[in-house]
Amino acid sequence: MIRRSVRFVLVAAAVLLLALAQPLAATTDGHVTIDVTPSTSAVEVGGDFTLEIVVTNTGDTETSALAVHLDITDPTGVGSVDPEDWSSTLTRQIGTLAPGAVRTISWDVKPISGGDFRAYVVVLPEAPGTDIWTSDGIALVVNEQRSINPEGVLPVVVAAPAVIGLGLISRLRRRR
Amino acid sequence: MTSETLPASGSWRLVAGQELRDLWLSAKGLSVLFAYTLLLSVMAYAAASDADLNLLDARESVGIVGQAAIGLGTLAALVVSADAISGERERGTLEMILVTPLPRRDLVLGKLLAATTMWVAALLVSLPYLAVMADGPGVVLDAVLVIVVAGSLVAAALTALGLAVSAVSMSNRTSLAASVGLLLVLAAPSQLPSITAKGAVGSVLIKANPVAAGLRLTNQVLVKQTGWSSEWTLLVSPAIAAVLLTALAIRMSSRLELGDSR
Amino acid sequence: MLLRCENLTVRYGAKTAVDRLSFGVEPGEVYGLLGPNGAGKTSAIRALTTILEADSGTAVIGGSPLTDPTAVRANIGVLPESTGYPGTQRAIEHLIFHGRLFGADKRAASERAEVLLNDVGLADHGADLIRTFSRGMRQRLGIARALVNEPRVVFLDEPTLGLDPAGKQEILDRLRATAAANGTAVVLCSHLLDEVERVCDRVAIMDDGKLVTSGTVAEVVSSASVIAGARLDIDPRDTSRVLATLNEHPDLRAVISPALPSRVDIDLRPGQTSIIDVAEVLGSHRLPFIALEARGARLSDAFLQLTTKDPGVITT
Repeated sequence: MIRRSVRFVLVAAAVLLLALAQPLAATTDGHVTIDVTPSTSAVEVGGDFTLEIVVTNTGDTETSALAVHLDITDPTGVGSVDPEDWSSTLTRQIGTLAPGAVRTISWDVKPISGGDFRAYVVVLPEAPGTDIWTSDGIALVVNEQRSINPEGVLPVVVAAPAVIGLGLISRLRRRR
Repeated sequence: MTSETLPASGSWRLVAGQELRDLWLSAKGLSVLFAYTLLLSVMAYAAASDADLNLLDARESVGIVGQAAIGLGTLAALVVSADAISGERERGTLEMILVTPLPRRDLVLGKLLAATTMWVAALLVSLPYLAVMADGPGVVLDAVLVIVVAGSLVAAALTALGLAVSAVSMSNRTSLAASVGLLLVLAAPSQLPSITAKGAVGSVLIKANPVAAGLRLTNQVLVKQTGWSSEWTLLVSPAIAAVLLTALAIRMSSRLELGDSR
Repeated sequence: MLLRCENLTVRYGAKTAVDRLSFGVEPGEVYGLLGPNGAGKTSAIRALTTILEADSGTAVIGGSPLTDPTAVRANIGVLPESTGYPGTQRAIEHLIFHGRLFGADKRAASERAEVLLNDVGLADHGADLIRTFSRGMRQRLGIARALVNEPRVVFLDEPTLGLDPAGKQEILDRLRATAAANGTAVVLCSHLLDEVERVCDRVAIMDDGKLVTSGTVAEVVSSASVIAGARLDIDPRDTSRVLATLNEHPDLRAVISPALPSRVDIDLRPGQTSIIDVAEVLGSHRLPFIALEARGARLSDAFLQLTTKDPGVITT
């Protein structure tokens, strides 16, 4: 009788363990929140701006190794945008987060075309899985006004042809 | 003056002096230089804008401007040298020169020197562009050195080539088309994808080609930062071409003919 | 002789442009070289001025053989027919440059340039850009350029092209004077045969690369046996009577000139009738006339006879 009872308990424990195995794996990363500031930004084409991204583990278990991904899009589909042109890195690894841990990332972005865009940050485990957390959208208004003196080259590119052109006009007049 | 006198030795100076006056005191030289400056300005501004937007690395933008300065400056000198003899032939002024006791060699040498000043002018004009653009990545000295050394060798070689083509061309249009076509063909391999250039055949193709070698050297020194000591072999073919093509142009002077462009 | 060439031959591939040409020019002489288009005049001049290499034959120019082109060039002045001018140069600058190509120092070349500009009537235009010059002014400058080295032999191809009648007269007179004063030999190519007739001491006519005839104008005209007709100007009212009378003569043929109703062209039978026969017929029938002139006594007629080409379309 005792032996049958022990066998039952063992079988029941095994079944319970098997039943709990999947839910336990799914909750390994706990709950992650993402805050991005500023939530709206108006910049000029070619103007630098920085996104401050705060990733917090609000769960009670340590997360697996996480990656943070930045994406920029034009939801209207009016303009095309290639985020790789805006930032040299689009995905960064931040490692694991203990419960309550906070990781802050500064992300430099340089828009190369004008328009109304939406940026958002996605956090996801490096390991295969389906968990994914998404930030609120950040409204980006990029004005077309570019720097008129990129790399300080404007004075030379204007002055050199102007000087030669004036010399040419003067020479043409003198030889008439 | 008596009818027995002959021009003093070194009459190439006389020809060079007249050619220089014709080139620079007329609008011709300044017109070509103006076109060169405009093109360089457009390219420099575009490269700087791209660098400003991070589309290009700052070094890459310096490399582009350095290569443009060499390529366009060589083209400017080539346009002048390719016109030097065929242009006179077409305008009917060559016969009057050929019936004087001026040695043909001095005629060609004088014209070659005058055409070379077009490169010198282009070089001087390009220096402020390079100085401004190379200031950011801190490669001003390399930029100046590469254009002075590699650029001058490439330009000297192609200027002599243009003059040799001009000496045998019966029409100015033929001379200009052939010379510019040769420059484009020689410059094309420098635009090969880097993976092709790294192969044995690609590497030889570029090193043996004076124009491609000069442009590749510019890229290696200014963009790749590989340093002069590892890239000096790229100067060999421009140097050899400059010497051989100058000798060829002078040698062709003995076969200089009036032709009949009429 | 300042210029003597013997059997000069120039070939372009299979085509013989100049075929065993021989002639000579004395000091102070103006020698006319004539011929229709393609006769070989330009090729001959280019060979003699060292621009083209002759395939065979010899020439001595200003005392130097053609085999020493540098020495020949020092002694010659050339004005090619379709010569160009650097439009961006000033006239005096152009002459000084050419003077220096012949070895003159800057000062001597400058003085010579001023003298020449004055001689060709461009004294007030020395500082002007050549591109502002008319064709006639350019031609004057070209003549000055050909004389810049005080050459012993001058080759002038259509030197009066683009000049007005007074200018032509002036330039030709100056050429004659230069030749006479300096003992310069002048070889002149021109399609204006009356001009050649007036200025040249001797002429040569070329056709198909060969020298057809040469000598004084009178000798060339005579050698061509060109007195083959007469020209009679009459009162138009006498036309039918004159025509009928002349055509009664078995060796005369008279027709109204297509150019003028009062003119009668008369063909003579060479060797059998002459202009005197015409005069006798007119006299014996008491026919009045205004003028009677032998047709074909001019160099142009000799040219036509010898080359069967129209001198009006001759170019060199």
